[in-house]
Amino acid sequence: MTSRRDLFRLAGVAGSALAGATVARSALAALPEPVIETSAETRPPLMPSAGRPYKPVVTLNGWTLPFRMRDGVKEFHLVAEPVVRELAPGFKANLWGYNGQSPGPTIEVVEGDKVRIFVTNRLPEITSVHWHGQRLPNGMDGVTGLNQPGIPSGKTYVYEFTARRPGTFMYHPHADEMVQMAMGMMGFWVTHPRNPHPLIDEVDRDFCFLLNSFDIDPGSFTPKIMTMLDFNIWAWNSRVYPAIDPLVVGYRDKVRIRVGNLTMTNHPIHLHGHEFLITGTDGGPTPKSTRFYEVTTDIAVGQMRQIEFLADEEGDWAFHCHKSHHTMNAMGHDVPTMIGVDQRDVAAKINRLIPDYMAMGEAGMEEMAEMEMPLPDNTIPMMTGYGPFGAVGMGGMFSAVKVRRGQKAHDYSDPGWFQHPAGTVAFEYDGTPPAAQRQPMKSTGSKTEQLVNVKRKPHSGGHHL
Amino acid sequence: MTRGCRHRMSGFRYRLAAGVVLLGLVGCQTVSVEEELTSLNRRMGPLPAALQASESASLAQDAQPRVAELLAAPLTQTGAVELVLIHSPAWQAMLSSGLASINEAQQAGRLSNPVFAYERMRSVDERELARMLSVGVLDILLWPQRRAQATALSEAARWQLADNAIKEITSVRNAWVSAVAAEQRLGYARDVLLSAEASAELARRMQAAGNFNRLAQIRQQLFESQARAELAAAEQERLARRESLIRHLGLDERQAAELRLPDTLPGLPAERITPERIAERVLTDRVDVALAEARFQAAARGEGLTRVTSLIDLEYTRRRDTVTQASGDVERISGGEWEIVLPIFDLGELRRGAASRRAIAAANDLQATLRAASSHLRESYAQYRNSLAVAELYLREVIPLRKQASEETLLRYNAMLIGVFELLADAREQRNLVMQSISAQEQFWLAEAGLQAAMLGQPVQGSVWRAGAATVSSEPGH
Repeated sequence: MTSRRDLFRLAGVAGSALAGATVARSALAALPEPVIETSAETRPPLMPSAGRPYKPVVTLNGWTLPFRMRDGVKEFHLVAEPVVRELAPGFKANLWGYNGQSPGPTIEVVEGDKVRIFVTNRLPEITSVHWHGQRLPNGMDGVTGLNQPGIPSGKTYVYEFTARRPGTFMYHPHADEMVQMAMGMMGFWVTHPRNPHPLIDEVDRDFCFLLNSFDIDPGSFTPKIMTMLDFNIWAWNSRVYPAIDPLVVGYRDKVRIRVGNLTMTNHPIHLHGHEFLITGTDGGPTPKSTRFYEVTTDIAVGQMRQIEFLADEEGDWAFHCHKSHHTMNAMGHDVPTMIGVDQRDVAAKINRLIPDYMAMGEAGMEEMAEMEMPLPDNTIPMMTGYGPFGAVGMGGMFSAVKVRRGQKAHDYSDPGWFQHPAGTVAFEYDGTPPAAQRQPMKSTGSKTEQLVNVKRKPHSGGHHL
Repeated sequence: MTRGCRHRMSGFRYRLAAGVVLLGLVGCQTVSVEEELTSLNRRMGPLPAALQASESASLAQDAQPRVAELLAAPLTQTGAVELVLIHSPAWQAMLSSGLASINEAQQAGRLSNPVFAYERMRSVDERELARMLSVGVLDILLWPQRRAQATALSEAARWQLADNAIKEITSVRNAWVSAVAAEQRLGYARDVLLSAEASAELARRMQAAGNFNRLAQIRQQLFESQARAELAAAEQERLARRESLIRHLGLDERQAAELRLPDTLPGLPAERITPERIAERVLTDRVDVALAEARFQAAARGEGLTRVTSLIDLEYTRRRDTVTQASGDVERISGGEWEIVLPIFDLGELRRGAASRRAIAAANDLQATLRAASSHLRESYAQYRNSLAVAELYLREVIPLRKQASEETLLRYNAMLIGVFELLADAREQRNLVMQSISAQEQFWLAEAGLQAAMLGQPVQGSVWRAGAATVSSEPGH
């Protein structure tokens, strides 16, 4: 006997099959062929094939969606669908995204472009796309129920508007929004200025990424969608350290980084070694009079910040969220502090019960970064990553801006670790008199400094390369 | 019956021949101890050692090397039963009193001996010698019936002995199972304490280092106290179970100290008792049914006898007197005397009523036993199957899953998702589950012994099924 409930369930199954496979080819005939990305690597900038020229952005661990011009309209095809995103090698997540990845591809247009976006829904439920921050007709704003009906499973809707305002935007669903965003549905949008703009400088490197967060129980694959605050995966473009690519720039390049926040909390984004200006927000370019130098900018929930700086210090400069728990991967917030607790003899006792037990935390947790222990499936360590001097012991929202002399204009490939000039790496003091070739200090040299006997001893921890 | 006091002295001549034949017939009924034990063995099914009644000291002496051999290695369940058979004084006492009951029952089938009286009287002028031989005539007339009743009674006594023997063997098997299980659980209770001690010690150091507040430290200390109390209970349980087994085996102090048990209960049997095997058992082969049947037979025959004996008794006395006068004349007088009890005051209806009701009661007992037999079997079999299913569930599923849970817990500890206290709580939880698993296996072996006994017809009184052991705690540490 089939109950009403079973019928509904069957209907649901049929619906998802429809969403997955049977978007009729005839319906798609007039659509641009959807482009599906299979990798989580940072793709090189996509030079515009038609329309007004612009200098494309580089999406960190992401890509730009190709378009086609038809009757003067830039046409894009976004496919909302379940995806498996590699958050880091050895750590994959069952997410929802667009065109094969989460986040979705970056859409780049030019101020004044007529834009048509086909949105095909291959999710098992309705969706919609809200073009966060855009000036557009109200009926194109994407809020299900308020501005449009939800896009049913298996259907394709069309959004059409003119990109009126140059700037940095985002897109994300406004249908079952909490779930769909917790599942990773979001993307970047850049509207380049049509003409040189007094408040928008030309830059050599233009990066963009979204801040996003997930709650994925270690050992599982799918985010817990009901989590409001206690996220354990803090990501940039659905990617975590050590798998976030470095931002590679040439020495003295003018660099712009656009960062949007679609997590549930604010993130103070901090750059080492340089000062930057905030040149734009979701509201557009900032007036020059409001700009001042900073090394950290706090990005609130749903906000966009566009920072610019001159990369005039060579090196591998850390670039991260300054909330130190956000530069960690999944961890237990109830793990007790073991600092100062001698565990050796008790550990021997515990080993009789749990042979593979290892005492941890007696002297802090740095040892965690160096230890490689078996973890639950599909889990990367809370603190991990190696640099030229050993364990970095980080995770989450952490990367590096690599400033190199001779990095070619369009070359975004990783140049490797920075080769420090002799005498420019912190070293261990061992009580011997200072060597004659010691680099002069930038400061005038206080009495104390002159009194300190130092000896160079770089790369003391370099055995972890 | 008050036959003894009714003999009267009278003189008579008699022929011995008839009496000798009679005595010969009665003598045939004597059964040797060996035959009785063989019969008992047959009634009980195969045993690990031959049944022996150690009525001589030498038999007990002979068993000593085997006893020492059995005690030298960890004692198996079969070994325990064998030890009881060859060594336990309580078992021998049970056996001997059973044999005594059989003898007593057989006694009822014997004819009362004829009474011979000799009287010598003297007066001034004469001397009288009187010789009398009296026999219970009714006794002799009813002898075939009485013998049949005695046979039924001794059969009942034999089945009663078998019943007691099965009961004793079942309880030694159970005592062995419980002693081994308690021993096994004790080891895990020690592990639980070890884990709780580690937690408590770390918590004390955490508090000393300023990382724990008093409440957090107390919580861990409470786990330790609880584990200590549980260990004490487990130790007492182990001791009580072991001593119970020692009493069953009848070990002396030195032997008790030597007694070693296996580390674990036997694995679950590959070959299962099937419902077909149970159905094969003929109802009348069952000890309880046979015992009720024998009792019914005895009661029925008793009723038949009482029908006659309650009304009449008949005794004949042959008398022969020799009177010697002072003159030397000898006068011989001989004659017979019949003695009949007259049913005037007591018509015997009460005795007949009692006998008839005993027969009815025995018939109903038999019916009840027959009807209960299959129900007992069903229950014992269900206990056997269900406890086997639960024990298997623990061994094949719960324990491997729990082990995996502990492995995952360790991985979570490695990943800094949980702390050492959770890890230790998990270790305790795992051990507790293993103890539950041991209890489930214990349940099975108790149910198995119960089913074996029930199949022989000695249904275990009350259920061995304990609901507690069937619950699987799913709390994966907290």
